[in-house]
Amino acid sequence: MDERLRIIIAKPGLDGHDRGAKVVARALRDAGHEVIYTGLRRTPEEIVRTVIDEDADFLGLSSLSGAHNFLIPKIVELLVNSDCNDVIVFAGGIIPEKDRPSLFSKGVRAIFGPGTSSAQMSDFIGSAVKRREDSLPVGCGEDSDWHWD
Amino acid sequence: MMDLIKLKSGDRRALSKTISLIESGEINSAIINENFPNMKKAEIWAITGSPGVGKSCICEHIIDNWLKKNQKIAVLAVDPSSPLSGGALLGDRIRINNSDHSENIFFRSLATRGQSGAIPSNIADILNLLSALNFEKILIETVGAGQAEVRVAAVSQYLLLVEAPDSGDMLQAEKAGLMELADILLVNKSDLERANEKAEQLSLAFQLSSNHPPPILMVSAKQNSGFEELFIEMEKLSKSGKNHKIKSRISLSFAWENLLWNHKDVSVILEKLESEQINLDEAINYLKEEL
Ligand code: B12
Ligand SMILES: Nc1nc2c(ncn2[C@@H]2O[C@H](COP(=O)(O)OP(=O)(O)OP(=O)(O)O)[C@@H](O)[C@H]2O)c(=O)[nH]1
Ligand SMILES: [Mg+2]
Repeated sequence: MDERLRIIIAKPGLDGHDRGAKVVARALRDAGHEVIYTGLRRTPEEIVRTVIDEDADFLGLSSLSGAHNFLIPKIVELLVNSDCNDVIVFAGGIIPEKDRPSLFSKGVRAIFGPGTSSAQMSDFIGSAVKRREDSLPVGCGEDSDWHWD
Repeated sequence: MMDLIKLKSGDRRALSKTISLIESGEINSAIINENFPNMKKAEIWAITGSPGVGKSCICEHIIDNWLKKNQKIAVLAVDPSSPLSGGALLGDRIRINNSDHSENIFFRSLATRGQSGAIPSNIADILNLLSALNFEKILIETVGAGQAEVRVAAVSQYLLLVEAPDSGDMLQAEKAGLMELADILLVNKSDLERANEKAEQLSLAFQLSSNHPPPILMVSAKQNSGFEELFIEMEKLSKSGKNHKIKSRISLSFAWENLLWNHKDVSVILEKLESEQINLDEAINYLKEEL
């Protein structure tokens, strides 16, 4: 992967599980990206402010506490309202299969569970970047049902 | 391209996009100065010290103090890029909990991107832009990598140097260079044993070497103690508005160094020196004429 992207890894809500987020942050750094890790317990508003200030290309949300159905759509909504339609949103952690279609339909472009490898993440990031280059919708506020799997 | 109308209206996203353009070298100071002619000068503070001494934790307290006074602040937090992958883990936000708390703070993490110095070389342009947009206080947290840190003195107005009882000692010479430039010396982690000892060592070093030693203050970022004294000293500096003579000297020497390394013949001269076709005096004389 040649392109150096700016990627935020965020932990929304009260979820205190941070091992996965740290593993993912390091893997993306090793793949050549500039990764900003927010630390624990950020509100949707704080996460969106971070995305804006850091000029992020991607936002990765880590959730293991079961609050994903509420928090993730809320963050996407705020991003869209803040003129960040083009930011590419993905997620990981403990997110059951049955909850995924609804998250995809709200603009999340990939969801990763336990045991995710860095090759899989790179493959998703590569596919998303390719779509951007081909002017296909891929940002969280761009109309499309595309998602990686 | 830079979106001037949005920038001037205070749009955060336009600002952060413009910073990216400066980072990638697509925009420089000339363009900024041209578009913002009546530039106010922001107050620029830098905080430096060895890795892990507690710079970020201290930043959090300083930011808190400024936010309480309703000031408009920008923070630039610098972390190293990995020489292997070119990537970077920009982790200062983890310890600076108020980094995203309010519209009054703009917080940007910067990677060194393989620059030799510990701060990115185009940071001066970013500072110009922030000044132009009426930020009142700017705080730079640097990588903390020794000698190259002297560069921060060249771009900042005031320098805070942090030490801690458990910090690995910098090389003496490096430390001396930085200590000479510091406006305030902080001994952090005063809750730990040996903090007093560290402070005594430092003040002794100054008794021997300097006519105007900076204040040496003990703080504990963890226990939130000692910060009232720090804020008083910072306020004094801020009122004095002084830009030290020695810093002008450093700024000049960096500007000079930049000229040298950008000189069109520098690689030829280096080769000739290596192969002993010319000696050092000849090299210097040649470059002097050309500069
Ligand atoms: C370790 C652990 C803890 C540790 C956390 C330590 C820490 N600092 O992280 C402690 C003991 C503190 C803990 C506490 C709790 N835990 Co717990 N914990 C676990 C456990 C066993 C492993 C999690 C882990 O660290 N895995 C290792 C990492 C590397 O994997 P990972 O996080 O899954 O990340 C990988 C992928 O998911 C993905 N990924 C994750 N995030 C992201 C983000 C992006 C952008 C991407 C691309 C990928 C990605 O990539 C990673 C690498 O492959 C899980 C069970 C499990 N097997 O998952 C329960 C589990 C997550 N905990 C659970 C619960 C209920 C709790 C508690 C509420 C328990 C309690 N009653 O006290 C508390 C809540 C604490 C809190 N405030 O949130 C439940 C959650 C149930 C749910 N969501 O419905 C689980 C699933 C256990 C279970 N089966 O019930 N826990
Ligand atoms: N005991 C004690 N620990 C502290 C204090 N201040 C910071 N720490 C701890 O020191 C460690 C490093 O703190 P940071 O603020 O991240 O240090 P830093 O200088 O910014 O580190 P880098 O940015 O990585 O160079 C953390 O584990 C803090 O919790 C303090 O006053 N007392
Ligand atoms: Mg730090």
